[in-house]
Amino acid sequence: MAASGEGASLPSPASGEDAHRRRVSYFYEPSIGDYYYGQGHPMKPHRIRMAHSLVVHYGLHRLLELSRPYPASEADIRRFHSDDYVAFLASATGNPGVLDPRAVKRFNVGEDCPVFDGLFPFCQASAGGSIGAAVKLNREDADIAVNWAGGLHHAKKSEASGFCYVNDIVLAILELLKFHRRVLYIDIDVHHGDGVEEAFFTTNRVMTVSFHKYGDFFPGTGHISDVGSAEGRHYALNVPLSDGIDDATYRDLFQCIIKKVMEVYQPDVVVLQCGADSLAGDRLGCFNLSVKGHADCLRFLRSYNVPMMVLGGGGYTIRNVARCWCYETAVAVGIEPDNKLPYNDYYEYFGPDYSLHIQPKSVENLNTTKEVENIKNMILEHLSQIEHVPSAQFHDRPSDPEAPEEKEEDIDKRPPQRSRLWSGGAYDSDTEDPDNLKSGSNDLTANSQLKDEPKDDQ
Amino acid sequence: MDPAATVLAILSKLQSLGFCAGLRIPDATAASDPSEAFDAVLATFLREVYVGGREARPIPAALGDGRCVDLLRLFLAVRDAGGYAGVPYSRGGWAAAAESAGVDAALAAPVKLLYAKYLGPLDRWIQRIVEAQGPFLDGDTRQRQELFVGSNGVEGQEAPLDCDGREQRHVMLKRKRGDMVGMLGWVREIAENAGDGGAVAARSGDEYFSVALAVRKAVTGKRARGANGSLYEGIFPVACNCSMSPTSVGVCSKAKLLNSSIMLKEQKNDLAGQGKCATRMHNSSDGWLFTSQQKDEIPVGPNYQVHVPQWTGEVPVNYDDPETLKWLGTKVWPPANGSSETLFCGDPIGKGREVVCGCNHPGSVECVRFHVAERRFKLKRELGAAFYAWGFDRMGEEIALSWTDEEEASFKAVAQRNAASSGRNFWNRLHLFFQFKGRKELVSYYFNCFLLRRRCYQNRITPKYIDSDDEEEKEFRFLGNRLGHHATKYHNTKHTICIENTDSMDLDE
Repeated sequence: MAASGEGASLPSPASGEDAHRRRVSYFYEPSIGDYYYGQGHPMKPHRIRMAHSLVVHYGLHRLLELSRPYPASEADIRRFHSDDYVAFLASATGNPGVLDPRAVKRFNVGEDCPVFDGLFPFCQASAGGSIGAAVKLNREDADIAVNWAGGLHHAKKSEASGFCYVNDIVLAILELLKFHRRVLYIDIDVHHGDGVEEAFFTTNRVMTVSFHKYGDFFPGTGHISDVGSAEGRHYALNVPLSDGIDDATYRDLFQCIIKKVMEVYQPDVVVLQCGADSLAGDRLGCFNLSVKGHADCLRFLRSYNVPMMVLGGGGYTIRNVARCWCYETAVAVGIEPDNKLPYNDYYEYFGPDYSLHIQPKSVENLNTTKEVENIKNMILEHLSQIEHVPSAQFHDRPSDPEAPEEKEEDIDKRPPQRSRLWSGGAYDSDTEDPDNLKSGSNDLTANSQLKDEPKDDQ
Repeated sequence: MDPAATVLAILSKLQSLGFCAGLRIPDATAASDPSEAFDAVLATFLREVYVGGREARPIPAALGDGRCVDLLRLFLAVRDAGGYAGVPYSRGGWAAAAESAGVDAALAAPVKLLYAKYLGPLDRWIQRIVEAQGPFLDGDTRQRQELFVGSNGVEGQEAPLDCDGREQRHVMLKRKRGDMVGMLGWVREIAENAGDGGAVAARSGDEYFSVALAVRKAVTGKRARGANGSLYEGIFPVACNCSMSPTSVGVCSKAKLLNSSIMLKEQKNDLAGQGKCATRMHNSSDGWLFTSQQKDEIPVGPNYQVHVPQWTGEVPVNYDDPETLKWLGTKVWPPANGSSETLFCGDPIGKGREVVCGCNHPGSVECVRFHVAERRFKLKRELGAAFYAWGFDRMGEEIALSWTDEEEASFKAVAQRNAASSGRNFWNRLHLFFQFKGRKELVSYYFNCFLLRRRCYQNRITPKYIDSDDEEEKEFRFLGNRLGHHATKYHNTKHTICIENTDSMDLDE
């Protein structure tokens, strides 16, 4: 209940203690819940309203700055999307009879991405919230900016995909890039974050890291060997996973990889896509994470004290989506809420247990220890390629653009290897020598496991 | 040849194969309504092809939303366009076929599927006649062969080799996971039973063969992009060919078929893995990491990436202009005039509900409703204007207060009659029924009341089977009547079950 001394912080390499308040900005469009994709369609914007109801009934709004987003205009959306696609979206109505069949095919609307009533205002609200979150971070008005209506990571430049039409994430990152040299994008949706990866596939100013189910699964991209191209080579990471991954496995993998990414890439700002379809029991997903396990990703990143944008995404068992995003809002403000849900407008949705947290299912974790080790090693190997990039490129960090109040303190507490890796001269010998890479990564693993153990509260 | 004569020709061909022996269609009947005559022929044929009725399909054929498709017109349109394999999807071929069958052009995909399910078997059987006796019906040899020789020649030429890296993704939809797996099982079965591949395909193929075709198309697209696709050719075209024309597996394709079954097996063990497609499909059981190189490439070019400027170290100087500040939106909280009093009158932050309460029946619908109302009252006091700005006045069961009892009962009845399982569009009916309520109001009622009450029922009666998401229930059950006045008295499962058969189920019929 009170600002948590224990729940809201995991030991992370960046900082020992993490109980400090963050200034958290939160965007919410009150009409969002009334948009409707159609009968039987799994994507339900109502879940965002349910999450908001929980957030407010827990009293979390008192620690937030809440704004209603400004709707993104066609011109704003054209910063990424092609003119004809945006024009189509803006003119599309819910009446399928008047749609041009060629446009339907060309822009991939129809089955997964229906043209529903209010489609464009829905996209405007989603994108407006994420761009607003970016502006908040750029202005240093907030340390963390949240938009649960964002995170629609499949949308492509000229094409809708996987229930996503406008890629609010790409638009938000473009805004962030005005003030930040390097943006790290992390995606924990069960689906590969293909739209974002593709948009920034050839730049090193944005690094994308996606953890997702791979193999006979939408959208089909996200193989571990996809690492970006041209200047962006090695600045896209893909962590392909199998069904049934549990909290412990996920946390181990996530923390091991992200720790290294933070060391190597030193982002100025982090964008976290919190797709909740990686939770246990999702209607479309196949992972087995609890709400806590999911939120641990946010908790871990938060402890780095780097400005952060937190976005929604997938999530198709709506009661669990609301649980998850409410809890993650709490994590952002540093609160550990009671497990017994307060009475709220959607209370019956959460029965029969009416609790905040969910139990993982008893399903087999098809990610074997060996496979997870292999993934880890391959990813660390990809990352080691970045370390060989001429250091000048990353040498001088621009005057720390974001300075949360306790930044100084945190930097002091950072373990020495972080700065050493980045001094440009003295790389660890074990990271330079391929033969030693394995032992180096094993150390990392051991490290993170050791650190996790005492905190494992599952 | 006019439609009626075509129908009679088809019937006589089928009868020569031993089907529809008892069916007699007078010329006059066929002439007066050829479509109906065709339906009758098809119904009899399908019943006889799928002995046991497992595969029987309802006729007349209808799409998911209830619209009927004229199968004869569809059959003729597809035939005229060069046969199933020859209809180019991307050039609107199926859209045109859909239109000629009397449905919207936008429904090309379902119509194609429908064709595969209803008319695929007919195609394949008639093909046997082509094999044995040469072309039939209108005597146009060239056209008939295109129709029935199957995909091998025709689609290879007709299917556009799409260099757009995007094309392949259309195959995989986010929602449909089962089809691909099933189809692959089927393809594998054919490969493993190469000797009698045709029989396998004929037995179970039509469920999957349209999927296989789509996959093959995607694969063809990939090949054009220069991916290492030689193995696909070995697998998919042949497999699909089987399904199209089970009896026509020639010497050459039989050899290919045998090859493909070997390849499938090899691939599973092939660590170096140059085979891409099949392993991707099997990868849930095998480690994808080493066996699979199948992956969808990320296309590169100005049509895909966004332009990212080089970092110059200079940040915008005019970041306080209205164009930027508009993004901050409308601040709703903390309230501009918020005194510390309004900020801290509520419960501690993060506090959940009290375990004990003074209600007569804790946990009952009545108890919950009371506490929710109490909670909302407190919240309204604390939030002030923000309560309305966030739309809390339009959240939860209270929105039902603007609905009359009759309207609620009608909503429920419409929903019940048109549940997803009925194949009808529930919203179209709702709009018809509630012409004075807008879309938003209906959707809002649906999520705020309708589903909430269904969950209320599930929580108390079927707590092991709760589901607010798939909307595929055959029937919707609720406790009590409007606002659950009856139901409020019953607080636990035992009680409610007692009541279930009496008055609290009054609206469930």
